[in-house]
Amino acid sequence: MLPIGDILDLIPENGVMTVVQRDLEANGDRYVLLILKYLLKKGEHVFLFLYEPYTFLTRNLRNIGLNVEEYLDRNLIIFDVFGSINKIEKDVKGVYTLSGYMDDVIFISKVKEWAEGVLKKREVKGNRLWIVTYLSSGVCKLFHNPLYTYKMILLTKEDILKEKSPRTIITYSPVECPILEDIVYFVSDVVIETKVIKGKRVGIISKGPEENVMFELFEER
Amino acid sequence: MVSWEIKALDREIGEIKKYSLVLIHQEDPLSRGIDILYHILTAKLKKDNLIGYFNISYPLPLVFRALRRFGIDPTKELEELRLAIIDTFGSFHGIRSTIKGVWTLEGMLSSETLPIKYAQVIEAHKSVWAENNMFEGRDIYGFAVAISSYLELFGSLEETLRYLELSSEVRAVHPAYKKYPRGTNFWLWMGKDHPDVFASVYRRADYVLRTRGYLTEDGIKRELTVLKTPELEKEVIKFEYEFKRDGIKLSKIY
Repeated sequence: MLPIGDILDLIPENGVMTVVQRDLEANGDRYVLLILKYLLKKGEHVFLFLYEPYTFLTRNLRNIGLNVEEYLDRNLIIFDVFGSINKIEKDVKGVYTLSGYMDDVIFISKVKEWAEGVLKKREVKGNRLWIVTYLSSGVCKLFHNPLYTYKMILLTKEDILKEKSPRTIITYSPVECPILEDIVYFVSDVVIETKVIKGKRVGIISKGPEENVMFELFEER
Repeated sequence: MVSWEIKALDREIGEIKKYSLVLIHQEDPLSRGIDILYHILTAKLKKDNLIGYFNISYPLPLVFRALRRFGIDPTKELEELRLAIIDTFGSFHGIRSTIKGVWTLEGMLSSETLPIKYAQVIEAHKSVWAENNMFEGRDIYGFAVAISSYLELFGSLEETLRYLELSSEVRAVHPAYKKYPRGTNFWLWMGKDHPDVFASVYRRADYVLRTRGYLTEDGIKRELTVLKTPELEKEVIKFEYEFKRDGIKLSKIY
């Protein structure tokens, strides 16, 4: 019995929470989309780092009754990593892709430039800023050296946002990118493992306050 | 002898012989073996000891995050010289830090050059400790996080093994380790890859602890096994453990 608001309260200021999709069928990625919906409806500002095709995201959001276009460019900005690497430009307000030649190192420097620019343009208070990834494990399919690139992405985030203290929610599927598992644990203040236990989809807090508490992910609300 | 900073370990396997090499093998991230190492590190720091931290795996700001989570203000500890950080990760990737107390290794880094560069930096920081009369009444501890990441930095198994074995020989003769007091060292190894390199590290260590985590119907189970000590132990000792707000709670299984 843990409502989303209570889960989010576990994350300290400037803190990081990871939701691990340990069993694919636990649909831990959908749990993060419910969190995203909750944040957007509350009027919080969200930067979504998208490592999957944009259409995968919008399809899954529609299934939980969220039309992203209502929020895009208002309190939601999507940074389309998948589209940037695969050169898929799209004309949707609030969805950003990087253009030009791209490799692991160039990606990092371009992201930095882009993020600094966006932050300068938008006056967002740090305590109302959230960073959400969908899903970080995508780095394994998008970069040549995923572990090193991911470490650099985290370092860049620290450099750019040190005065903003945003909270971060990482979505992570270990089967798709096992090499990230240890750094994802290391950087997190809170980790939720999602699994199917006795036919129920549950989250188990494996790091942070309320350690080892188990709760149902999709109870009627 | 020095304490593990975990009562059950002091009681069941005895305190650590000074100047030992302790290897913690975190088999999977879920077991959070690294947090056992951080618990020991931060407890030693809070008791006013001298700490050398070898940052091999992560960008430095992430290490600072982890230290703060354990109630340590890294900037203050570095300022006050109790904590020294050797930023191997940053040195290999050309990320230079200007923070006081953080050392960067200069020039070409390879299995041949790294042992000497480490020794020079350690000698330099120990001379700072000597100038400030900080050895008196304090123990020295080294923490290497994580040894398994040398495989990433060197990019090959042979080079990593050569470095690890050469470094032991350099340490035995270099003035950094002879002129000044020595420390007790903790190494972390993460994951199950490269059992051949792990075997060499295992052989070198005086103590080896392994951590393992499982998800069960009742939640998380975590186990710590004592695989090696300097004693001739007839049996393997195994504990269950939990992370609590005020530390780590171990209970012996057998």
